[in-house]
Amino acid sequence: MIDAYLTGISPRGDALIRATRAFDRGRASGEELEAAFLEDAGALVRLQLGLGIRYVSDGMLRWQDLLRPFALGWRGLEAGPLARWFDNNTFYRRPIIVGEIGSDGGALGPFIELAAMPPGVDRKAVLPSPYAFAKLSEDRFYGDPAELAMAIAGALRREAESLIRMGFSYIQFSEPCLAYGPPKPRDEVAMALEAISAAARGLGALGARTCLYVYFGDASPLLPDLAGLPIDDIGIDMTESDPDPDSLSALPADKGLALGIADGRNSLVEGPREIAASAERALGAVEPDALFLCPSCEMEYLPRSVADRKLEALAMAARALGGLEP
Amino acid sequence: MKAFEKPLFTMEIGSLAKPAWRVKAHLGEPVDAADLAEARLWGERLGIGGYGALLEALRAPDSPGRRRAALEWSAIYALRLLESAGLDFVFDGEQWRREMYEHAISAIGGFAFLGEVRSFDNKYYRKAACIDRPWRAGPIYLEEFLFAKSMARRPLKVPVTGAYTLADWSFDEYYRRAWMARARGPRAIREGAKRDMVLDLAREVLRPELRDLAGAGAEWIQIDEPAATTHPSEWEMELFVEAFNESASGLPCRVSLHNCYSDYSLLARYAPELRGCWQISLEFANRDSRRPGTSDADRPGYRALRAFEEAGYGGSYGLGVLDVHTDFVEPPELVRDRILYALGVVGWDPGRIQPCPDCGLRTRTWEVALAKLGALVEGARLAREAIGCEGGL
Repeated sequence: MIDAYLTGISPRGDALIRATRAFDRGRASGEELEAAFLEDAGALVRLQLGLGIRYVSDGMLRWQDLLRPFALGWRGLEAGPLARWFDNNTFYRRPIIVGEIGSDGGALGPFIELAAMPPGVDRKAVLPSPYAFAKLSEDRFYGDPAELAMAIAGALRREAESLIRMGFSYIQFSEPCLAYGPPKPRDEVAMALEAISAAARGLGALGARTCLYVYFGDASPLLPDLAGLPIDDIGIDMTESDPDPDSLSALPADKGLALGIADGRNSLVEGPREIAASAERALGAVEPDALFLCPSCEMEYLPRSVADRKLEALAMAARALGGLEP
Repeated sequence: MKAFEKPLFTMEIGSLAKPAWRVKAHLGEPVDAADLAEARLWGERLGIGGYGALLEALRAPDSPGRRRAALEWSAIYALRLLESAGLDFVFDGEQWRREMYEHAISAIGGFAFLGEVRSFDNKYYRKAACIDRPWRAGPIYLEEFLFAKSMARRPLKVPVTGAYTLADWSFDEYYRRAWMARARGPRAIREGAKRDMVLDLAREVLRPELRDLAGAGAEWIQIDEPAATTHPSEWEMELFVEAFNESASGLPCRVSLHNCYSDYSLLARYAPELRGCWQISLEFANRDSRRPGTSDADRPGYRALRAFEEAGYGGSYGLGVLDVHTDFVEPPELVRDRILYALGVVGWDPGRIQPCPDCGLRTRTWEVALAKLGALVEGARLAREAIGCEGGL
């Protein structure tokens, strides 16, 4: 399988931006705002279907940031002060852990645009990795990073099971912390992998393909560690990594690869030929079980028109490599 | 200049809120009775002579003259507000600027605005891409400065947005393309491109602008670099330092740096390398307690000063003593204690501390801004009294 897909929060379109602004200023009703969300998600879903993309995302347009639905929806958490989202000019509310984490698996209900996704379509959902979630939070309760990460993993697992019941057949865990900055100590990597495994193990038996998408840093030195995860696909941010086929061959033959070749943080739109050539160069003789071409990270740092063009280029590149059914 | 000799002299950082009449008239929209009442109220309150001419202009239909009047009068109002608060250095509350990024980029050739991107929640900003080698299409701040200079009754400090921040907040297409032909690997391309973009902006745009401002009589230019510590790697920090030095070193006026809501332990390590930077103004009140007192436990927000001292930075500090994100009006005694704590860190040298708000006050009403600035000025006076130099040196 060779395909393309989105990897995180998409930028809102101009009309939705205007609607959110009007709502905040008391110049638009809740119903008008709801209609704007549905319209924008619908446009994004139609774009993906039109391009022949198999695993379709609703664009996560309601998500204020990757952690907010859980900071608001789980027991034991509060949405804390604004903090910088890695090295971007974008900010998130740092979750504050104030008690034992609890989830009934329903945190994402208000954030998913189910009505925009036609029945019978393969749906892709994105969740934070439990390790990144723990690193990006302020812990005032557990006092032990491993215990916190495992508690988050348990709650994420319940959300993933709910998503599968809602008809999602692809679950991506987004991991922006593991490769960001200086290399992490071995015991920390082990702790991260244990929490990710706890969240993801067995989701395949419930009917979902799974991915760990590692971004904002070079994932290639971590590939031998990631090879053993109970996860179908490993994602690599190719704007931060320059992996050679030797390092990719560390992955077992039954693992799929997601290559984040389109830069989600810069407006220069990569050409389909350029994307296909990058993928071929990285793969060499490696033939993964599945190959997904994707943006390097969530594309919310780009205006929507640019993000849409990048997705089109990714789909065209996947087709040039022999994938995608129109 | 005499104002520079005053111990613990006070200053503003940059922006004030824009009155509704300024926003509407500059957009070419009509104003309503409430807008006119606001212009009248503050005109009276700030003792602004001839504000009747403003009211007349606001009542008139849209024209280039009316739009210009909105800018000029709002600058005069802001100057008088800051002067009436008793600040020693003032400016026009950045009333001529839509916003610190967009204002500068609009005046620089080689950039195209692509659309809006999210900052957080439902807040967005317009973001531009560099699509050609940047050039200074015309003066960015010169006209604004000359008008403020003609109207001000106190010495001015001119805030400008720094080259590193302008580059970091923009997309890059021009330099990426150039580097794709010269380097292999995404990181080498990105880093080479960013370095060229930052330094071209510093040399070709900022430096001539600052030279013109100094030539037109600016005695003090503040370079705003909120993006300074966004990328904590060594080469990015060195690039930020190089951009500052290329923009400003050797200018015939005082040059300072403003940064806020950042990693100060990181910034401190590079502060001594900022050539000719006579002051660094920073946000501290936001990190501090509201408890009076001058002990370490009372003043957690100001401990970061020590990192700059330990790194060997020997310049002055613009000491943020007002939290700009709350309507809480700091009591003058709290302002005094914050100043006294900072003085203790710098060996009781009152020439090295200049109290100011954490950042621009644009998110506060004028009412709150005036009250907070009044407390700042009074707190500085109390601090002078406490160390026995109330009459100046």
